[in-house]
Amino acid sequence: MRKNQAKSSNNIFPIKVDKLKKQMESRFENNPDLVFTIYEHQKKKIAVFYIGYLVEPEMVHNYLLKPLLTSDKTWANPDILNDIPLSTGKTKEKLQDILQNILIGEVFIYVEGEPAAVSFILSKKEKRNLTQAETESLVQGPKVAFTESIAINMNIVRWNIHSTDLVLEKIMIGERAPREVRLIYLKSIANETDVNTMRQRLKDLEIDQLEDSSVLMQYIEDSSQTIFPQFYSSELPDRFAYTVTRGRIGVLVENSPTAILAPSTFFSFFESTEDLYMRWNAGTFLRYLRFIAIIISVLLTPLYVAATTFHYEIIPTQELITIGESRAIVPFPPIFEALLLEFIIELLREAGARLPTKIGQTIGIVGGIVIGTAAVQAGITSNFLIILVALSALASFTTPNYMMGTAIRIIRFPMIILAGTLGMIGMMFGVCFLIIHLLKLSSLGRPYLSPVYPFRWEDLNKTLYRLPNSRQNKRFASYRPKDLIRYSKRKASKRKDIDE
Amino acid sequence: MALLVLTACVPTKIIEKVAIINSYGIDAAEEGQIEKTIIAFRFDDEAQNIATTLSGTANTVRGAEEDAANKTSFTLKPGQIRLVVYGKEIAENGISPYINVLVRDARVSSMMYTAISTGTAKEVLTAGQENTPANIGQYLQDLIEKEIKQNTIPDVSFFHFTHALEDTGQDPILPLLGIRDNKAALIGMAVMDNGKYAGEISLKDAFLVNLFQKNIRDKPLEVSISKEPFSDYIEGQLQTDDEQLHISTLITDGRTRTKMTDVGGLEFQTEVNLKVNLYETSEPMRIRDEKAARLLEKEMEKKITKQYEQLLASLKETGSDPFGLGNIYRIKKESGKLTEQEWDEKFPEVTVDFKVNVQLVNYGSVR
Repeated sequence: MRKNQAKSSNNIFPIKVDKLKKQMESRFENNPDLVFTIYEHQKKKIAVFYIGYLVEPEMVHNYLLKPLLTSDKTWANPDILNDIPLSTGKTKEKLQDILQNILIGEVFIYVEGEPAAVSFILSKKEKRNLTQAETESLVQGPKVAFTESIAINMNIVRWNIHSTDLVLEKIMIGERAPREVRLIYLKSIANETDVNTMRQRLKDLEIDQLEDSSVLMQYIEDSSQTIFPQFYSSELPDRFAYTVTRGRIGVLVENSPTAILAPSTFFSFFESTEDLYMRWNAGTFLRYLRFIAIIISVLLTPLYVAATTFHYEIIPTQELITIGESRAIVPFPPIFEALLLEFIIELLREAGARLPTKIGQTIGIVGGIVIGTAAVQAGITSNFLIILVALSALASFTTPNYMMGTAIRIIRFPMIILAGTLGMIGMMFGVCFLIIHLLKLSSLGRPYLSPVYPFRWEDLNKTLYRLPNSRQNKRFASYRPKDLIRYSKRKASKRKDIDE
Repeated sequence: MALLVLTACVPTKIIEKVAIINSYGIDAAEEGQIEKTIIAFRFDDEAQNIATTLSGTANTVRGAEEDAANKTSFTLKPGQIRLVVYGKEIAENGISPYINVLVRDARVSSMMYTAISTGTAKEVLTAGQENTPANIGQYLQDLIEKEIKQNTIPDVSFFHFTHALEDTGQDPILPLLGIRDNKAALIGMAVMDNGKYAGEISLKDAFLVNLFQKNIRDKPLEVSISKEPFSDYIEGQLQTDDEQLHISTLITDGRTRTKMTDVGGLEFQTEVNLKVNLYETSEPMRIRDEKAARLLEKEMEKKITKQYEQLLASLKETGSDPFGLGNIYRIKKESGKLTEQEWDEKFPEVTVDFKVNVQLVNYGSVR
């Protein structure tokens, strides 16, 4: 195949129309979709060929065939380009070009004897309408999500960032079935090193084909061993615009409704654009809530396991009686009990995600009520643990990024095992291991835990908490954007009266 | 990581497999041995009550525990001990030998309480258990804790107790538990001398000790004073034949300051400043003017001074110094050193000049 392609990259024109037809048909063997029509007009043979379902038939008829066949001109390539009322005309000489472009819905016209074929883009693309974001839903703020069409996505991005500074570099990825990827950044702000790194990673990628942006992310991430995502994947255009205008880089992939945002810090996975739309104090509260939620999600069940297996001393006496009484009926050690229950919760979540929405809701109720209460009555688990497990599952879903949420849910399992075998000491081992691991990670070469490590005081108000906008007039300094200041603090805080 | 793998399994203490000691009592047994009565939680789904009572006899506290453990299928574990009761007989001979087992064990909370019982500890713990719906150890602990929170008695948690016990210039006091109406109750405070039971004081006196030691806020106080001076203010007919006028007040702010006026002569001076609100009088009284209020203040001052003096006199007899006068003496003393023995000899000779100053802030209006 590759050899054939190499051969076909030579100019094949001029060629007899019949011969061209044969060649094309041989390429599309067993493929009845190629429309190859030969017209005789003014004693000249004109071939028009395209793939039936990839083009708008009405457009082809009205704007191409009608002028072509009704006029009494003797067509040559310049005439076609001038007189056909379509603006996308181009000449193509190489067979390889023709084959590639016919597959994305171009219509080719070849007048026998001419040195090239002329193509027009009349592609028809089936696409879904813009819908609300589903994995990252917001209460307040823009609701629209990216779709599978890169043209629509770029349209949305442009509408979000009206700037000539915005660069949308086109990179094709995939050897066998190339796919369009766009590298998007603001020229005057984005750090050049970051842009170059990203561009190089994209260009150096030699793969057969690209399935989705999340797959691309795995190909180009700094470390593929870790469970933590290093790039933020978002389906929200407002988040995309927010990140790009702060000097980071976005990547859009054709046919993928999620964009990649890089570089990202660990903390950015717990930020939601809603924090910005809320007032700053509410935003800070929500952000803290999410940080507490991770701690609960990772450590609450392990703490229960450690306390009931090793450290009954730390339980307050009243609580001890409650826990002890509910534990008395359970025949398993706490570690097994906790793993079982966490497993059930994961099962429910997975089933809920896979099933159609309507059945999914039913499963939620069945899981919550039937399995929950029945498990206690059957003596498989204690009441107390059900609350803890439900709480930590709930907490893990507060993470705005689904990938990060999943990562956090998974690290809970080794944590439980550590807590059940080594108690609190084991949990500390686990936490230390996690922190060391996070410290070693990087995102596009930038430290994953910045601005906490390496510490940067002026960046904390963009990660750990939020301040009024007049105090947040700088971009994220850890990523060294070309232009650090977003706006003048003095101008922003100055109030102009109406009569001034 | 290799180290983690190489270590063997850590012994587990799953809560439903162990009996967690909640409280225990120490009594004297025959031949110099001690009897330990343990109330422990065990989480057995077949048992009605989670609290179980065990007892064992041996020469040491731990030995007695081993003995008691032979009578149950659960492993006995400390770590949640909330109350330790010493029988009077044991306490009279000194509880120090039985304290060190608690001090040594890191699993023992320093927030627990130690107490002395009027009879045997077993009596308090078992009789109480039968008549208290909740677990008796928990009940007694809550009781003591409540009294401390309400400032009725000084803080006697294990931490403060051991501190006072080791301190040469101060002697600890402990709650005295007894049976009242077939129920375990706090009936007074036991004063200690050199780790031995030396005598008891009433809860009223315990409050005076507490007031001496720290600032008090929002504590109700009942005082009985002579009715005579108030005959002008009492309205209408006398309601009772009682010669005492009982008044109930709320101390909104109580402070004491003690200084040594004469180091050689062991003379102390204690200022007690009380700001009180009048709540209730046993006779309907009209406090029309300042004069009546001042009179009331004066009578209260007299009464409280008398109470303090009586308390000090009885403490001198027992030889126990819960006030911590010895510490003040040690600070003032030139060498700055004081031995337990030295203070034992000197304590009966101290004189304290109590200056009580009551200020009636609000007395409400009677119309």
